[in-house]
Amino acid sequence: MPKNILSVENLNGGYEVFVGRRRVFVHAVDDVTFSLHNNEVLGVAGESGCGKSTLAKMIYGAIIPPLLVKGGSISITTKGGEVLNINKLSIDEVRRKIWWIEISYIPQNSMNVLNPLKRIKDQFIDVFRYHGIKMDKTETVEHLRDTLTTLGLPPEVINAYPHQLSGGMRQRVVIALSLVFNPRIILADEPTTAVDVVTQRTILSLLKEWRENNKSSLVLISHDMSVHAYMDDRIAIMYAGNVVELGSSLDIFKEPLHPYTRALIESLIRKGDKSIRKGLAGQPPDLINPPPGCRFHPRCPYVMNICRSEEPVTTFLDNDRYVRCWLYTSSR
Amino acid sequence: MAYVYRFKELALRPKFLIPLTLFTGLLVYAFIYTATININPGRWYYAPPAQPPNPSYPFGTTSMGQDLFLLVPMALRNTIVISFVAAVISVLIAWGIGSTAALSSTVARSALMTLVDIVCVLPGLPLLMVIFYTWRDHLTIPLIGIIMGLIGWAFPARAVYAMVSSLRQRTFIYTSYFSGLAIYKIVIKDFIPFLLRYLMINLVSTMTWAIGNEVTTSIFGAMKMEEVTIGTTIHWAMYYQAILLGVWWWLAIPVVFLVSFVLSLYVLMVEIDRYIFARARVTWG
Amino acid sequence: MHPVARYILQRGSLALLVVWIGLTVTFVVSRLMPFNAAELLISRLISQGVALTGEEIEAMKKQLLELYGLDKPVVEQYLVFLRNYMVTGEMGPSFAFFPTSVRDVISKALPWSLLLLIMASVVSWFIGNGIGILAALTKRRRISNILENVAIAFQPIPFAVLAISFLIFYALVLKLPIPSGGYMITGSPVEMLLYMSRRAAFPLMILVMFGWFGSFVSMKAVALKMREEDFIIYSFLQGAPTGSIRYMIFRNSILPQFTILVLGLSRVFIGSLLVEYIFNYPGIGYILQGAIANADYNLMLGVLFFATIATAVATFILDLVYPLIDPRIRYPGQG
Repeated sequence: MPKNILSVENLNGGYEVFVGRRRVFVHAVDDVTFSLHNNEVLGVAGESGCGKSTLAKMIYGAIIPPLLVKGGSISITTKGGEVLNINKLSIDEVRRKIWWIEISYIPQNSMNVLNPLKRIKDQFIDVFRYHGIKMDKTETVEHLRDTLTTLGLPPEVINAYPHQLSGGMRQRVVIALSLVFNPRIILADEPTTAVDVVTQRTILSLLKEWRENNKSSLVLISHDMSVHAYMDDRIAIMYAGNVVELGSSLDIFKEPLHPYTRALIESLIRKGDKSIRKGLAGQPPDLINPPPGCRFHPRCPYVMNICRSEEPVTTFLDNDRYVRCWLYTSSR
Repeated sequence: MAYVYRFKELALRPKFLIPLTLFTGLLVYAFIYTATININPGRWYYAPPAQPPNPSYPFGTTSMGQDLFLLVPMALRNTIVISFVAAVISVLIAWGIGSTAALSSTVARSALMTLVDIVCVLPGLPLLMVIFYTWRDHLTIPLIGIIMGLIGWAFPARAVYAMVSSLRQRTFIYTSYFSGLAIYKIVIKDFIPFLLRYLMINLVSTMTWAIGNEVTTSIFGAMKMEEVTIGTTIHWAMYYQAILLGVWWWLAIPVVFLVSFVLSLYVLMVEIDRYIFARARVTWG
Repeated sequence: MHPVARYILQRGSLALLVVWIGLTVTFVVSRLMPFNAAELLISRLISQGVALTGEEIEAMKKQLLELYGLDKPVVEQYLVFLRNYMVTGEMGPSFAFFPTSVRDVISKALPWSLLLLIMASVVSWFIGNGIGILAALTKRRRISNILENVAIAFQPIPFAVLAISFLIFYALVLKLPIPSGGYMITGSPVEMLLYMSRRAAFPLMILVMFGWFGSFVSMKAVALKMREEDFIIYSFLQGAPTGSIRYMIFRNSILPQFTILVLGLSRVFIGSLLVEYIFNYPGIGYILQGAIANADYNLMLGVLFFATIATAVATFILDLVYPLIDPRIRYPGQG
């Protein structure tokens, strides 16, 4: 039985925004429950606008208005064995205790997130400073040289400014930055969206290798199912703020249960398959006024009457596999 | 894209209507009222000297016996004419040079931009003073404006250059082009709002620049001093020690009128920009 | 070549180009005068030089004729003019400050003006940017909005009008005396500098009082945009404390502001000329007024030339600082 290092229970939240003078709530994350095991890659998949990034922000504890958490809990087991409830801590406590030390973050456009006016080594030293960690400068720089070399970067990089490096090099530096304190969880939000396929592959391999060596866990958020197929141990499929299906990636790719998951996987190109790819008709629903019942029902090819009025319940198929769909409730 | 001009919303805003009224009032006072005056208000001693504002002389009179109620609109008219001519000339040059630089090859571009940089650094004011002073006998009001326009185009040219070269690379123009929109329609729908907006901003900013230069050169006395402008009025007030003698209205009235003109013009520009050209902003790279 | 060396060479040659064009413009203006300047000056010399001996008048006359060289072809006149201004510094006598030469009059006033010009632009730039960054970062929106509205209202008003309004207020409402004197002060360089700084404080105050709006408004806009930049958000998520983030926003927003400082010099120069004259500060503006009041064309041309040099030099000095704050000039990369 794998140990959980992060568990999310019945998480609810979203954004409070003003449309004209009216205050509306965008319910971006709705009743999400899952846990992250030690030493695994958990993928979060779904179309854009389905709440993936909001979920990432909540897990990371970056809860800044207009983002609100309405209910549920996120608890993390720290390196010291303490269990902390992230959404009960103040943002300053999260900043000092959690960020970069327990969970670090690889942002979406990681080629452009380095401060243009600072040398690479100073950006590393800054992270030590932010967390009040004492270090010996020369020793750290020595250590950095090694780290960068393992990531395939020439050691001179530490004295360079970001504009002197290529996009791929900058991305590697960002990955190295997130690994500085050996956090047990890495949160990667669409880490390879803006890069070409070759760089994408290199970066994903680097992350994979590092994670396997360090026995850490990775939460990988991406809309790209092929990335998930390459990286994940388990996948959570999100649709309109709900996790509609969760299971090991082998099971999900072999036998997708939820009609939405099926549509996502059918859209992938497979070796030897010559049929034309089918897309899913329609748009993801408006999160301000979600459709009643199952949120997927307007686009679902298997829609039944019950789907239009009642929200589906979570059906566990085994300990680590569940689906939220009426198709599977009736059979049990 | 259909361009939305919000004329109606703009016309109903008090923040637009108040400066508009003030601005029109000043223009009427400066251009229409002065046409009805049949004496030269710059002449001396047609009124009792150094009268503070009173019912028969609402703005008071100068120590030289000039009625400020007649003198100030004349001065304002001339100052407005100078600044407007200067603005038109310099905006024409700025658009010529700025857009040529933005649309031409690297060599021509860097040569033109070096020229613009140099003219930006050159101190225009002492040059204007020397020119105005040595040719003071030959100057007319529009000519003053033309000379200022020939010197003050560098800053607007920089702005035009930045605008045009950024506009060149905007994706929506390619989008329009590739979606088969006719060239003249691209010009009307995608370019004109930007061009009009910058034309307006350039005109207003060069006008305030020219007003400042007119006032400054006149205060130094390097101007055709017989012409009545806001600057020369201030100059004579200082020359005849208006502050020392307590004739403060001689200085204060022209200043108040000039400030109201500049501010109402500026607020009008800001409001028009907000409602008519809101979508035509170019984000600077 | 080292990129910094190339940069300095580039800016330096631009400064030289500015000086040369300024000289040429001065020459053109001096030859296009609608009267024969040399003859006019000689007739004035004779009427003013009552205290001079015949020999001295003759010497001056010769010098003036040589200076203008109107009997020679234009190209030669131009070369002589260039030599006089750039090499020998011979610009003829000044009539407003007779019998001092133009060179001496201006070289006395120039340090005063340079001090005021540089201090005024630098101090108001610092104050404007300082308040601008505070206004962008503060949680007290109301105060920063009021400040911004004040700045926006003052910004379009020509500096001359502001200075005159301040003069009315200062002399009539506050009834305070206007400081004066200090022109012919001599002493050791340190004493001079101390005295000049004391004397410059009042005009500096006025220039700064009305000079900070521009950099304030643009700094606030730049910093508000900078807050949303990816690398700022990234360092926030790295766990940077508020202080570090604020410093980072400040450090990165100040760069584009620097261009404003450099380009704004010639505009500050207009203001400082006027303030020097209105508030009796013994700089170029003060001299210029004397030259105009006395129809002293020689001195006017000299002022025109030195004004060009002053702004070119000040711009060059500021240009030299730029590579120190922007590593992208020191180490050009692939972009």
